[in-house]
Amino acid sequence: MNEFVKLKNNIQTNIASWALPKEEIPINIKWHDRIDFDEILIKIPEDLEFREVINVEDYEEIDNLLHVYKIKEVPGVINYFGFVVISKYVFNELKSIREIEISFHKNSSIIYEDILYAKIFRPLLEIVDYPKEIIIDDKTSQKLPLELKYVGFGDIIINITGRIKGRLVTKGKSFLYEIIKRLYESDPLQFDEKSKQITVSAEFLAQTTRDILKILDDIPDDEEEIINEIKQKLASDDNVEKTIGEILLSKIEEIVLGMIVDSIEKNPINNIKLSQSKTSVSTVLQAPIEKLELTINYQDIAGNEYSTRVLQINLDATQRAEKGFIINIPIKIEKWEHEPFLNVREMEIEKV
Amino acid sequence: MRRYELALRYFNWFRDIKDRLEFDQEVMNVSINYTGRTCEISNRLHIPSSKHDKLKEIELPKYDEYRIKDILNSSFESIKELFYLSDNKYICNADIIPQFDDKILLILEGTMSTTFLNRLIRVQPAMNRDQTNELDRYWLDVMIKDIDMWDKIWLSMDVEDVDLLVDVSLDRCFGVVLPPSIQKRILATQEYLRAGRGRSRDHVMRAWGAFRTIVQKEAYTGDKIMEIGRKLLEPDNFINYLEVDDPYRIGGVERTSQRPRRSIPEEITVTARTDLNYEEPIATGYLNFKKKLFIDILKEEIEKI
Repeated sequence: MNEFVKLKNNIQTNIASWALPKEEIPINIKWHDRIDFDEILIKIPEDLEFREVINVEDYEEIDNLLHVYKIKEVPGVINYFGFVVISKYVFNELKSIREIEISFHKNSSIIYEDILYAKIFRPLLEIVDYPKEIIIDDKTSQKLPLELKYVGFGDIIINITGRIKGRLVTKGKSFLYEIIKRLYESDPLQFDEKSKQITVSAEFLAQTTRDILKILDDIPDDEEEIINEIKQKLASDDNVEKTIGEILLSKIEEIVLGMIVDSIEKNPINNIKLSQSKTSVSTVLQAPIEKLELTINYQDIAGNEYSTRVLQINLDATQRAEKGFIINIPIKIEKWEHEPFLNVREMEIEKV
Repeated sequence: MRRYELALRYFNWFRDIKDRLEFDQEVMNVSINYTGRTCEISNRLHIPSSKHDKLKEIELPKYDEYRIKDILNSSFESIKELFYLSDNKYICNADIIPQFDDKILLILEGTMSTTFLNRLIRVQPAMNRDQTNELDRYWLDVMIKDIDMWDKIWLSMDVEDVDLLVDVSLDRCFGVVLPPSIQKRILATQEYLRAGRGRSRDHVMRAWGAFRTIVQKEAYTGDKIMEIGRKLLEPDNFINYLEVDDPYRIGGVERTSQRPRRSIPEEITVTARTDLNYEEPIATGYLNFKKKLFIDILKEEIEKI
């Protein structure tokens, strides 16, 4: 058996099979029978960088080259060392492959060499369709429908923001949503085995009631008509807390449904989470026609931030008789195209 | 002696114990529990009968960082009573001395800081799952950072229970299996909530009317669905939908400790656990969540309602 084959049988390598941009990619190289070498040279592409070197006694890192002169070894124990690389940037390509060249040197000649492949994937969210103009009148209720497309790899969380002349006009919650959210997030529900019904703890009910009263206080009087009505009704009540508590208790079924709805809306399709299940353009227009700039920001699990292009949408309230131009337009993602990369571990990627 | 120098530097309490035991001694085994952050040091003492009187006088200090876990004689029988705790000191019980022979194994257990453990071991699970039609998988990677340091410190070394916490995503699992009766309710609820956010009172009233009609017509199953979900996610159940490559095992399953806790969890934290030693200083493999099977069973259960 020639020397190279012998070494090939002796040396085992492992590299993490996939990674997000800027996610650490661990690599290890191990061998059972001792190898006499002067240097192990690791060469990585310019757009990767070394993050960590593991179990190495003597090494030198020069730009994209790692010179390993001596690993830490213990007689009778498997020989190994490791290193960690990371992509410097978020690549434009949704799937990238980078070569990591490893060569063992002895007496100025290469006695063994191998190439490992780092596979780096990223997500991409595209806006397929959106309304260029929304007519705001008194008759119909408006909405802002979007058609989006997800392609690539990696779970993302989406945040939609709208601005008019730089002023933030999108809101991620509504009063009703807030109530449901609080119930939902604090997990107060228990399933009563006897009655086969869901019950709410008294302590939770009291806390939520206080929270709701606070939310009501925080909403300006002129923001929503329905809130004004609720406030007036509650103000004429002797025991406000008890009233809200009773309302909540009587609405458990709706609340449970609301929780399921919220969960579904927050996860509209696989890989996608919305930071708010409901976002609305909610503001007072300062002119009958205003330009809304809508951006969708999204983040992968590694914390990389991405943005879609900015959408320009005309809001036209010239047909509206009501003064003040208060608008509350729910943003609704009506259609999804979904093309996630599956089985990236086995995916073959062509070198560019 | 040099072999212990580093150990002594890391564990002051061990140096103290060692100094006070003025007998021939040898560290036989060091075992680290990564999750518990404990280090167990088995120290063999050679105490010939000529030195028994000296042993009687020994008092070992008791620090918070360590405790005597056990004492074994050469037949591996526990003679833990040889030292008893009194006034924050371990004091030798002279009555026990005749029961052991020349050699005893003193097993000490100390705690380790997270910083120290992080210097010893590198732990990394994949951030993002790789999905197939059948399963979601996560790669797992663990390495001892410095094998030489181990050797300088200890003769033999085992690191037990090196845990990798993987947040297994459950997104859409519940959404895709809802029966028609609940889907109708959900649509009605969605419409009602949407109307509530708008300005039209007519729209709200219409949506409310539609919601009540469906509620009256269709059997309500929301709470039952949540109960099925809760049961399937109990660790004993959920473990059936997980598999992990050698040398890993499943160390535990729990609801992700996110604040606030969610009634319908979006993730569940799975512990992939392994052990490291001189023979296996590296552990790599995959954790699989058999998502299709999980959804199929969830569907089956919901259809039974």
